[in-house]
Amino acid sequence: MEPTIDDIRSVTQQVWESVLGRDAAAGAPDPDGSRLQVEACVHITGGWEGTVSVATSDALARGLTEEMFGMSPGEASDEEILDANGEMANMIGGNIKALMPGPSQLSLPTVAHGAPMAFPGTTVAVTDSFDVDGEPFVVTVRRRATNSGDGDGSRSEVQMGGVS
Amino acid sequence: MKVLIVDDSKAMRMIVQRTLRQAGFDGLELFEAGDGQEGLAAVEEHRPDLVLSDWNMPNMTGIEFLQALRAKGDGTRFGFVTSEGTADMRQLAADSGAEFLIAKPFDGDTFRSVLGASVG
Repeated sequence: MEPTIDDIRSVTQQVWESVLGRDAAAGAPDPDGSRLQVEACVHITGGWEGTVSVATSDALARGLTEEMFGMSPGEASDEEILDANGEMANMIGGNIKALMPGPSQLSLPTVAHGAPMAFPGTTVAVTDSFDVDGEPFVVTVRRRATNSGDGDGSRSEVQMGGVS
Repeated sequence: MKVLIVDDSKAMRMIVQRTLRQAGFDGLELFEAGDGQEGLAAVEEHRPDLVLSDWNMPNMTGIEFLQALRAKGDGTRFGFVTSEGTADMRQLAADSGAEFLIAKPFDGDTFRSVLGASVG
Protein backbone atom coordinates (compact mmCIF):
# COMPACT_ATOMS: atom_id res chain seq x y z
CA MET A 1 0.00 0.00 0.00
CA GLU A 2 1.26 3.45 -0.91
CA PRO A 3 -0.12 6.93 -0.30
CA THR A 4 -1.63 8.46 -3.41
CA ILE A 5 -0.88 11.83 -4.86
CA ASP A 6 -4.37 12.89 -3.76
CA ASP A 7 -3.44 11.93 -0.17
CA ILE A 8 -0.29 14.05 -0.34
CA ARG A 9 -2.12 16.99 -1.88
CA SER A 10 -4.96 16.88 0.62
CA VAL A 11 -2.71 16.63 3.67
CA THR A 12 -0.28 19.31 2.47
CA GLN A 13 -2.96 21.81 1.52
CA GLN A 14 -4.73 21.24 4.84
CA VAL A 15 -1.52 21.93 6.78
CA TRP A 16 -0.83 25.11 4.82
CA GLU A 17 -4.37 26.36 5.21
CA SER A 18 -4.89 25.46 8.88
CA VAL A 19 -1.49 26.38 10.25
CA LEU A 20 -0.42 29.20 7.98
CA GLY A 21 -3.63 30.43 6.40
CA ARG A 22 -1.96 30.17 2.99
CA ASP A 23 -2.98 28.45 -0.20
CA ALA A 24 -0.58 25.80 -1.53
CA ALA A 25 -1.55 25.45 -5.17
CA ALA A 26 -0.45 22.62 -7.41
CA GLY A 27 2.87 23.65 -8.91
CA ALA A 28 5.28 22.61 -11.59
CA PRO A 29 8.26 20.50 -10.48
CA ASP A 30 11.49 22.44 -10.00
CA PRO A 31 13.49 21.30 -13.06
CA ASP A 32 16.80 20.64 -11.31
CA GLY A 33 15.84 21.14 -7.67
CA SER A 34 18.29 24.03 -7.37
CA ARG A 35 15.75 26.26 -5.61
CA LEU A 36 15.07 23.61 -2.96
CA GLN A 37 17.60 24.72 -0.38
CA VAL A 38 15.87 23.66 2.85
CA GLU A 39 14.74 20.08 3.34
CA ALA A 40 13.15 18.37 6.35
CA CYS A 41 12.16 14.76 6.79
CA VAL A 42 10.62 12.28 9.20
CA HIS A 43 11.05 8.51 9.15
CA ILE A 44 8.22 6.03 9.63
CA THR A 45 8.98 2.57 10.98
CA GLY A 46 6.68 -0.33 11.81
CA GLY A 47 3.65 -1.44 9.82
CA TRP A 48 4.72 0.81 6.94
CA GLU A 49 8.32 1.92 6.52
CA GLY A 50 9.61 4.93 4.66
CA THR A 51 10.27 8.64 4.84
CA VAL A 52 8.31 11.79 4.21
CA SER A 53 10.31 14.85 3.21
CA VAL A 54 9.46 18.44 2.42
CA ALA A 55 11.79 20.69 0.45
CA THR A 56 11.50 24.37 -0.24
CA SER A 57 13.37 27.53 -1.16
CA ASP A 58 15.23 29.72 1.30
CA ALA A 59 12.63 32.42 0.82
CA LEU A 60 9.64 30.19 1.60
CA ALA A 61 11.44 28.42 4.44
CA ARG A 62 11.93 31.81 6.05
CA GLY A 63 8.46 33.04 5.09
CA LEU A 64 6.60 30.12 6.62
CA THR A 65 8.72 30.41 9.77
CA GLU A 66 7.92 34.07 10.22
CA GLU A 67 4.26 33.28 9.57
CA MET A 68 4.28 30.56 12.24
CA PHE A 69 5.99 32.75 14.81
CA GLY A 70 4.06 35.88 13.89
CA MET A 71 7.33 37.67 13.09
CA SER A 72 8.22 40.52 10.79
CA PRO A 73 10.12 39.74 7.57
CA GLY A 74 13.80 39.05 8.23
CA GLU A 75 13.29 38.40 11.92
CA ALA A 76 13.55 34.58 12.05
CA SER A 77 16.83 33.03 13.22
CA ASP A 78 18.46 29.99 11.57
CA GLU A 79 17.36 27.87 14.52
CA GLU A 80 13.76 29.00 14.19
CA ILE A 81 13.78 28.30 10.44
CA LEU A 82 15.03 24.74 11.05
CA ASP A 83 12.43 24.26 13.81
CA ALA A 84 9.48 25.51 11.75
CA ASN A 85 10.40 23.53 8.64
CA GLY A 86 10.94 20.41 10.74
CA GLU A 87 7.45 20.91 12.13
CA MET A 88 6.05 21.08 8.59
CA ALA A 89 7.62 17.66 7.89
CA ASN A 90 6.31 16.40 11.23
CA MET A 91 2.73 17.47 10.56
CA ILE A 92 2.63 16.26 6.96
CA GLY A 93 4.49 13.04 7.81
CA GLY A 94 2.29 12.34 10.82
CA ASN A 95 -0.85 12.65 8.74
CA ILE A 96 0.54 10.44 5.99
CA LYS A 97 1.59 7.87 8.58
CA ALA A 98 -2.01 7.75 9.77
CA LEU A 99 -3.09 6.71 6.28
CA MET A 100 -0.68 3.78 6.12
CA PRO A 101 -0.97 0.35 7.78
CA GLY A 102 0.18 0.43 11.40
CA PRO A 103 1.10 0.47 14.12
CA SER A 104 4.11 2.56 13.20
CA GLN A 105 6.40 5.06 14.86
CA LEU A 106 7.29 8.52 13.62
CA SER A 107 10.82 9.84 14.15
CA LEU A 108 11.65 13.33 15.26
CA PRO A 109 12.22 15.59 12.25
CA THR A 110 15.65 16.15 10.71
CA VAL A 111 16.35 19.33 8.80
CA ALA A 112 19.13 20.16 6.36
CA HIS A 113 20.15 23.28 4.50
CA GLY A 114 22.17 23.72 1.37
CA ALA A 115 22.44 20.18 0.02
CA PRO A 116 19.79 17.61 -0.81
CA MET A 117 19.31 14.85 1.76
CA ALA A 118 20.24 11.31 0.81
CA PHE A 119 17.79 8.50 1.50
CA PRO A 120 19.70 5.26 0.96
CA GLY A 121 17.66 2.09 0.71
CA THR A 122 14.46 3.85 -0.31
CA THR A 123 12.52 4.34 -3.52
CA VAL A 124 10.26 7.28 -4.31
CA ALA A 125 6.62 6.27 -3.89
CA VAL A 126 5.04 9.59 -4.75
CA THR A 127 6.07 13.22 -5.01
CA ASP A 128 4.02 16.36 -5.44
CA SER A 129 5.02 19.96 -6.11
CA PHE A 130 3.25 23.02 -4.80
CA ASP A 131 3.45 26.71 -5.50
CA VAL A 132 3.10 29.10 -2.59
CA ASP A 133 3.16 32.69 -3.83
CA GLY A 134 5.62 31.75 -6.57
CA GLU A 135 7.92 29.71 -4.31
CA PRO A 136 8.29 25.91 -4.56
CA PHE A 137 7.28 23.44 -1.86
CA VAL A 138 7.81 19.76 -2.70
CA VAL A 139 6.57 16.78 -0.68
CA THR A 140 8.09 13.36 -1.36
CA VAL A 141 7.18 10.00 0.16
CA ARG A 142 9.79 7.28 -0.09
CA ARG A 143 9.23 3.66 0.76
CA ARG A 144 11.96 1.70 2.43
CA ALA A 145 13.19 -1.07 0.15
CA THR A 146 12.25 -4.55 1.37
CA ASN A 147 15.60 -5.95 0.20
CA SER A 148 17.89 -5.35 3.17
CA GLY A 149 20.89 -5.45 0.83
CA ASP A 150 19.85 -2.04 -0.44
CA GLY A 151 20.89 -0.43 2.82
CA ASP A 152 19.05 0.11 6.04
CA GLY A 153 17.44 3.40 5.03
CA SER A 154 16.86 4.17 8.68
CA ARG A 155 18.65 7.47 8.80
CA SER A 156 19.38 10.04 6.18
CA GLU A 157 22.70 11.66 5.53
CA VAL A 158 22.36 15.21 6.61
CA GLN A 159 24.35 18.33 6.13
CA MET A 160 23.56 21.10 8.52
CA GLY A 161 24.30 24.67 7.73
CA GLY A 162 23.20 28.20 8.27
CA VAL A 163 20.08 29.36 6.59
CA SER A 164 20.45 32.57 4.68
CA MET B 1 -6.70 29.27 34.39
CA LYS B 2 -3.15 27.94 34.00
CA VAL B 3 -2.27 25.97 30.87
CA LEU B 4 1.07 24.24 30.32
CA ILE B 5 2.06 23.74 26.65
CA VAL B 6 4.66 21.00 26.12
CA ASP B 7 6.26 20.60 22.69
CA ASP B 8 9.86 20.30 21.50
CA SER B 9 9.07 22.69 18.66
CA LYS B 10 9.06 26.33 19.70
CA ALA B 11 7.13 27.07 16.50
CA MET B 12 4.37 24.66 17.52
CA ARG B 13 4.20 26.10 21.05
CA MET B 14 3.62 29.49 19.42
CA ILE B 15 0.91 28.05 17.17
CA VAL B 16 -0.89 26.41 20.09
CA GLN B 17 -0.84 29.71 21.99
CA ARG B 18 -2.16 31.57 18.94
CA THR B 19 -4.87 28.98 18.35
CA LEU B 20 -6.03 29.23 21.97
CA ARG B 21 -6.46 32.96 21.43
CA GLN B 22 -8.23 32.41 18.10
CA ALA B 23 -10.58 29.99 19.85
CA GLY B 24 -11.53 32.79 22.20
CA PHE B 25 -9.82 31.44 25.30
CA ASP B 26 -8.58 34.74 26.67
CA GLY B 27 -7.02 35.44 29.99
CA LEU B 28 -5.15 32.17 30.25
CA GLU B 29 -1.89 31.98 32.14
CA LEU B 30 0.39 30.06 29.77
CA PHE B 31 3.56 28.14 30.57
CA GLU B 32 5.85 26.21 28.22
CA ALA B 33 8.13 23.16 28.37
CA GLY B 34 10.26 21.52 25.67
CA ASP B 35 9.79 17.82 26.45
CA GLY B 36 8.21 15.43 28.94
CA GLN B 37 10.98 15.77 31.50
CA GLU B 38 10.70 19.54 31.48
CA GLY B 39 6.94 19.10 31.55
CA LEU B 40 7.09 17.09 34.77
CA ALA B 41 9.17 19.80 36.41
CA ALA B 42 6.84 22.51 35.10
CA VAL B 43 3.78 20.74 36.52
CA GLU B 44 5.46 20.67 39.93
CA GLU B 45 6.46 24.31 39.69
CA HIS B 46 3.34 25.89 38.19
CA ARG B 47 0.52 23.48 39.13
CA PRO B 48 -1.37 24.02 35.83
CA ASP B 49 -5.09 23.32 35.48
CA LEU B 50 -4.52 21.73 32.06
CA VAL B 51 -1.56 20.27 30.15
CA LEU B 52 -1.52 20.37 26.34
CA SER B 53 1.30 18.07 25.23
CA ASP B 54 2.88 16.87 22.01
CA TRP B 55 3.36 13.10 21.76
CA ASN B 56 6.66 12.67 19.94
CA MET B 57 9.44 14.45 21.84
CA PRO B 58 13.08 13.77 22.78
CA ASN B 59 14.12 12.69 26.30
CA MET B 60 10.59 11.84 27.43
CA THR B 61 7.64 11.42 25.09
CA GLY B 62 4.21 12.79 25.79
CA ILE B 63 2.73 9.43 26.69
CA GLU B 64 5.63 8.72 29.07
CA PHE B 65 5.05 12.15 30.59
CA LEU B 66 1.36 11.44 31.15
CA GLN B 67 2.05 7.98 32.57
CA ALA B 68 4.73 9.41 34.90
CA LEU B 69 2.25 12.00 36.18
CA ARG B 70 -0.45 9.41 36.83
CA ALA B 71 2.05 6.98 38.40
CA LYS B 72 2.76 9.49 41.14
CA GLY B 73 -0.90 10.20 41.67
CA ASP B 74 -1.02 13.49 39.81
CA GLY B 75 -4.43 13.85 38.14
CA THR B 76 -3.81 17.16 36.33
CA ARG B 77 -6.10 17.37 33.31
CA PHE B 78 -4.13 16.34 30.23
CA GLY B 79 -4.70 16.42 26.46
CA PHE B 80 -2.48 15.68 23.48
CA VAL B 81 -1.85 18.00 20.54
CA THR B 82 0.06 15.84 18.09
CA SER B 83 0.69 15.25 14.41
CA GLU B 84 -0.38 11.62 14.85
CA GLY B 85 -3.93 10.64 15.64
CA THR B 86 -4.27 6.94 14.89
CA ALA B 87 -6.92 4.86 16.64
CA ASP B 88 -4.22 2.96 18.56
CA MET B 89 -2.72 6.17 19.89
CA ARG B 90 -6.09 7.61 20.83
CA GLN B 91 -6.88 4.43 22.74
CA LEU B 92 -3.53 4.44 24.53
CA ALA B 93 -3.96 8.11 25.37
CA ALA B 94 -7.43 7.52 26.82
CA ASP B 95 -6.32 4.41 28.73
CA SER B 96 -3.45 6.39 30.23
CA GLY B 97 -5.73 9.17 31.44
CA ALA B 98 -5.78 11.77 28.66
CA GLU B 99 -9.03 13.66 28.17
CA PHE B 100 -8.57 14.24 24.43
CA LEU B 101 -6.21 14.09 21.49
CA ILE B 102 -6.17 16.92 18.96
CA ALA B 103 -4.41 16.00 15.71
CA LYS B 104 -2.31 18.57 13.87
CA PRO B 105 -3.14 20.50 11.81
CA PHE B 106 -5.89 22.15 13.79
CA ASP B 107 -7.61 25.50 13.93
CA GLY B 108 -9.50 27.62 16.42
CA ASP B 109 -12.74 25.76 15.69
CA THR B 110 -11.08 22.45 16.60
CA PHE B 111 -9.85 23.85 19.89
CA ARG B 112 -13.25 25.37 20.65
CA SER B 113 -15.11 22.13 19.98
CA VAL B 114 -12.68 19.91 21.91
CA LEU B 115 -11.88 22.18 24.84
CA GLY B 116 -15.33 23.75 24.90
CA ALA B 117 -16.48 25.45 28.02
CA SER B 118 -13.88 23.69 30.17
CA VAL B 119 -11.20 26.26 29.36
CA GLY B 120 -11.42 29.94 30.02
